[in-house]
Amino acid sequence: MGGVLEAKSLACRRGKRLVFRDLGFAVDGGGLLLVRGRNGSGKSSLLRVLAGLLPAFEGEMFWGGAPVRDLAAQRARVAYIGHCDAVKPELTVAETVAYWRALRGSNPKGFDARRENFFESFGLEELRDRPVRMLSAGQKRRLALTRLVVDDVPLWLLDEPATALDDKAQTLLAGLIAKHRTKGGIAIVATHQKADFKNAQHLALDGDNA
Amino acid sequence: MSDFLRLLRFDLRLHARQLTEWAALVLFFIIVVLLLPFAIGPEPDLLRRLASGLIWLAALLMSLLALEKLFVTDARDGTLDLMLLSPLPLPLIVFGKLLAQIFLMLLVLALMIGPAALLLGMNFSVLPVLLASLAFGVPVLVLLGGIAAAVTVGLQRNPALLTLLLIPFYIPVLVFAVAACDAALMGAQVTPHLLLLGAMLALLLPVTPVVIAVVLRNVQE
Repeated sequence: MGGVLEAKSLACRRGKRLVFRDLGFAVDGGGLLLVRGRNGSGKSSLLRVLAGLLPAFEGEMFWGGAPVRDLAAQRARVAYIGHCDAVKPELTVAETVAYWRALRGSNPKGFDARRENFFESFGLEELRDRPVRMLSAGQKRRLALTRLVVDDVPLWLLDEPATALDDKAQTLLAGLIAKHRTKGGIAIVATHQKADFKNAQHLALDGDNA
Repeated sequence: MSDFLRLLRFDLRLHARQLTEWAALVLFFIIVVLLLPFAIGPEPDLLRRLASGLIWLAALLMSLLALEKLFVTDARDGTLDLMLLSPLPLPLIVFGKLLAQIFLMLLVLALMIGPAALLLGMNFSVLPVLLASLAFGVPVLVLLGGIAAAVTVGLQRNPALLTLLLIPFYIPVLVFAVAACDAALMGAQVTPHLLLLGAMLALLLPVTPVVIAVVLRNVQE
């Protein structure tokens, strides 16, 4: 799964505002980068640039040493959890997962939610046939986290992933990240929380980057 | 192809479960059809002559209302990000959404045409032409509306701008569709008008999903 993600002199512009500039870091396969900073410092924008959702205003990204020119290829290797859970109130929990899988295209990894006790591992077994509109914010967030497992991709970009999660779900999230790292995957987490992750790199966006 | 059909099924299911929104559209259509005779007068001959035009106007206004949320909901709940990150071609995903919207709008109109035609005392010999004009014209409205909805998605909620953008492009559709119905009423040739609507559809169908995909990618910036 491995790969090295590197950013050199990265800058992002939203409208007329330069959100950050001259940002550089490198994360090896199995690495975790915690991005911190005050509100509006550009954490979410950084994740969106790394996901290929926003173009970098300046600078360059590298994957496995090669410059990322093809944003489509970058998007294909990314699992992204943003501020919103990307759930539809009209669908049930099981349908939502199936919808996300449909959006990722055919299922080359042979993932089967029924076979792998998938819902049970996320504490969603009893909720699988419940419409999403009836879930709590924490349950919706837990449902969003299942996207990390549905598609086996090397780069996880998580924007405040622990929002609304209870202690048990936060432990589950930490376990997911740890397992992903042991497989050689990279996780980049934007967070305000003082989470206890082992061997994590830190990147501070304090507004001076703009 | 199976990926596309799977997504189309989900889009149809999502639409089918938004019953209150579709009920609101049906209600809107009925209100417009009911109110227009009060505005233009209750003379049966006048209503019979204008019936197809009034039905088309109601359909057009209904489509404006329906298209307002086409991509805004996805942008707000984060689904748009997943669409943009999908390894599937974005135009394919967009095409599925447009097709689902077209299908359900035609379904609603198919259910409402009969009662509306009765209410306005429409000459039933015009009905096949009206249905044909809607079958060609409504997809054109949805495709054009899809582009405007994608343009305005970055503005989060701006139905007024959507309407402003769309009306100039909707006018030719309305003109050709009503001209076809008028021609049918007068026993003249309807084919040229329907062919023009068909040509618009044939032109827009392959191009629109690509244009919308480009707009959606760039509107994120």
